[in-house]
Amino acid sequence: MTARYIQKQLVKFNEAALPNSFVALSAQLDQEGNPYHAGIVIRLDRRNFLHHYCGSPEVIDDFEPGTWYIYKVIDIIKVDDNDEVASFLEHCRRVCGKSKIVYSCVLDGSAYNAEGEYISNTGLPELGTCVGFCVNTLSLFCVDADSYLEVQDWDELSVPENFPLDNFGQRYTFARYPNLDRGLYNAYKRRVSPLEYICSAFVEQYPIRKQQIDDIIENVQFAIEKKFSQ
Amino acid sequence: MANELFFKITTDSRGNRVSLDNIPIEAADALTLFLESLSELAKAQDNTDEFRISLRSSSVGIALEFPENDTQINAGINHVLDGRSPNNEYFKALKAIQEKIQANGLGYKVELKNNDVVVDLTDDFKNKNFIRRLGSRKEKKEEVVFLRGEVYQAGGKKSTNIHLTVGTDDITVNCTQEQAKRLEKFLYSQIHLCALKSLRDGEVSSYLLLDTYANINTFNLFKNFYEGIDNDSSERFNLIVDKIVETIDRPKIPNEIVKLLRIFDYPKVDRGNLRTILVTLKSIRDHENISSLYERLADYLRAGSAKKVI
Repeated sequence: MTARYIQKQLVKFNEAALPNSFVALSAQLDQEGNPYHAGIVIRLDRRNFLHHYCGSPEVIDDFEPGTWYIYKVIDIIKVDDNDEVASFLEHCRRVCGKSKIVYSCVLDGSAYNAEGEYISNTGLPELGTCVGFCVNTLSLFCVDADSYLEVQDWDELSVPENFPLDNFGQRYTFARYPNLDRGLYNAYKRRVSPLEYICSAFVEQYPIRKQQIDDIIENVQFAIEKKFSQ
Repeated sequence: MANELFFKITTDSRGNRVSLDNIPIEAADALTLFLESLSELAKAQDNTDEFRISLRSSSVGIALEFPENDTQINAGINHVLDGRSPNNEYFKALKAIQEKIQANGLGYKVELKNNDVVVDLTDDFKNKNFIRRLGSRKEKKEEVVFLRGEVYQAGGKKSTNIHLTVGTDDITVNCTQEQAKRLEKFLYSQIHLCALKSLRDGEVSSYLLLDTYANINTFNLFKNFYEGIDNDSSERFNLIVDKIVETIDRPKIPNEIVKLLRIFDYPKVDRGNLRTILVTLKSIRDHENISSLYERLADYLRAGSAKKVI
């Protein structure tokens, strides 16, 4: 996958004429151009929606992203098929209607079912980051795979040492679930960064392996920097 | 005289009459929302010069007044009432009002006056669920139909089909040899079936048998289900999920699921419905009774995907 291809496929919001309907992985960038928040942009018949978890899970109708949003359309949902895109949007609404997610750098391969209920694989309650929330939402819609990401490829080293959001997540989680088994929690401490998440949109074999992301991450970072230096 | 969309709060939640000089807080909240929503509705027009909001002193009432020659707003309101509004501003404004009317237990009256003809919309706001139309309505080239008719011939050498009388019409439904053999036993009897009707230039070009039903109750069960989802609203996806989950929860799963899947067993099936069905059944896709049918439906989804990845 060439850097040129990546740069062409990675779109800065409102940068180009868009298809009328699609689903895209999206990230918000900080002032230095680093992705720090993840979501799923759903464009349906020229209206934009954002499915994300930022304090609470929600679908924002008529989402207006400003300039610091970048996204990559995913092909798993057919571009410009209003019916198929609408079915995914409705899944997102069902998930947000039922989700009780608590912030934590935990990713255990759990997912939401068709009714939008969280089905835990490990006995842990519904925990996750903004990326984890989106990944768990996508998993059901991968018809030919059990999950969107092969989460076991990530380990505890994926959470940076003294990472402020990890500290925040642990305080928040154990305040909410005081009797939670800390050993179980630590066993699934993992973090997929928003940059890795955006990279995953370039891979088309599911579940996506970490190595496939590692192979392109530098090119994706470079493409982002180039777009925001223009 | 101007046309108008008029909302009146008739009673508070205890059934007492309300008036402009004696507005309970719950009614004031509703009035505020009506004012904001009607204002948004007006702003969705190209030119608001002749639009007015009118507070009525004879009751707690508020009206959006608009010119008699403005057909756009009338059509827009009716599209929302019929669940086929492509206009988000109209939908949002009237849906907000509907949610307030359905939620807080006050007495309301809603009227649309169009060239001196007054239509009472109170029931529409109280009992309907306004839904937004998603996307542009497509001209149908195929549609699923549910038919009852008497079989008078079944079989064929080159092409296999059944011939039946439906009402006063004789129709031919293409089918497999197995289906023809089975249906031959019902010669000169009434059968219930579901078929894919293909249209060319608006005329029927063929029917393809999708499924048959043993009795009128089963026929009505699936017919009613399908009629509930045969529209462009996003609510149809929830109905599909609910139907499948309800069926899976019963002790005997598969036959009803098989019959449900058969209704969607054709290549150009609505991809939104198909995707919803496939993901809802994902956890039992390998069940021996549904696995081959599930795979065939998944192939329809794959075939329409640019990279054959679903």
